[in-house]
Amino acid sequence: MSWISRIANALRPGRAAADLDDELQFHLEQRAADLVRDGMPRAEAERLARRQLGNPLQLRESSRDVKSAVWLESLLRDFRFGLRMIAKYRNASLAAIASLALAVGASTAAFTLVDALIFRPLPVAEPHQLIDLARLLPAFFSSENQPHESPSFSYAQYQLLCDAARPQADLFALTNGLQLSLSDDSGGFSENVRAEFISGDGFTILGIHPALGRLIQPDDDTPANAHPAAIIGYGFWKRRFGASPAAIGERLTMGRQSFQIVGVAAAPFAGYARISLVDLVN
Amino acid sequence: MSRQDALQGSLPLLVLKILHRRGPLHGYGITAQIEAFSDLLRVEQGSLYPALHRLEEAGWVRAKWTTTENKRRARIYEITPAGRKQLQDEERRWTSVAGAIGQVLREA
Repeated sequence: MSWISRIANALRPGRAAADLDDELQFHLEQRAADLVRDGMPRAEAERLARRQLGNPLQLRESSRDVKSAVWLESLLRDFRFGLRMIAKYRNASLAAIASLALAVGASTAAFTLVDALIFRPLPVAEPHQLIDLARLLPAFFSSENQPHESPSFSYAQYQLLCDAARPQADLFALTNGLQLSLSDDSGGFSENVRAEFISGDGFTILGIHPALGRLIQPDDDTPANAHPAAIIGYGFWKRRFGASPAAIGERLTMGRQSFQIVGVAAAPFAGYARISLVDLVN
Repeated sequence: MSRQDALQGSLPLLVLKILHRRGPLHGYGITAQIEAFSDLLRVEQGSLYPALHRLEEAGWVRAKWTTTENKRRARIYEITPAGRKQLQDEERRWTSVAGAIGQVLREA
């Protein structure tokens, strides 16, 4: 007898019990018949046969322990009992189920965010070689009168840092993600998106590839926004443009400024800050 | 010592031996065989079935339902190759233990 038959017996406890009853019944009949053949009255023979066999309930128990996955049988019983109780106390059960669902949902959402922000490496070529620069500002600049870090640099500071770091390191500049209202110039849609502004060599340094078109390049770093170019995220491209190649060349108005879509970032890259993914704009 | 105690632990050995010698039998047949050999070894009849089911679980016997001449459904047990192997081991162990105890009883 295998595990399979033990599980089958647990799922149909009645059948295994009926088999055992049959087997014991057969034993009793044979025994009684033998005793009758030896000259015992039938009624007495049947009584003696039963007494010699022992307590049938106890036999059934000990045989069931062998033949059936008892833990599974009692698990099923518990499960059925649980379902009955849920049906009986419907309101309390609904409240419990709803609060569990909310708690599980909230935990999942929190984990998803932490996972995206902290655990998963950025989908760039060499995430472990990225260094985030910040300045330590003296207490004088802080409302709490404590020294604190600032991630902001002026453009002049950025250029000084670039020159100082070369050739050991390449620098690129990036803004925080900004929530901006975006519309296409033909009036097709309007929505709030999250955008980051990046310097021309950023994509090259991050090692990101375009899914379509091109990415921002150093010569997009023109003074006075002569040709503002935008890269859209893969998800945005699918959602807004149905993944159509015609997206390239479309003009978008973001804030008060107009940009031309020049490319779509490959799927895994959803912006440096990664939360909701957008549209990387120069 | 009561009769049942004499059988304690050795019932599987006896069952395997009988199935080996006599071929397939139903539970009652096994009981009858054991009793036929010895008045002393009276099987507590109920305890035979859990023991048979344990042997079946271990893969030493296999069982199937058959119908007897008088149209009765009966469960027939048969020893398996693994059961024969087990029988050999058990028999050897029994003989050596019995021999050792006998030696102590004689010489201590």
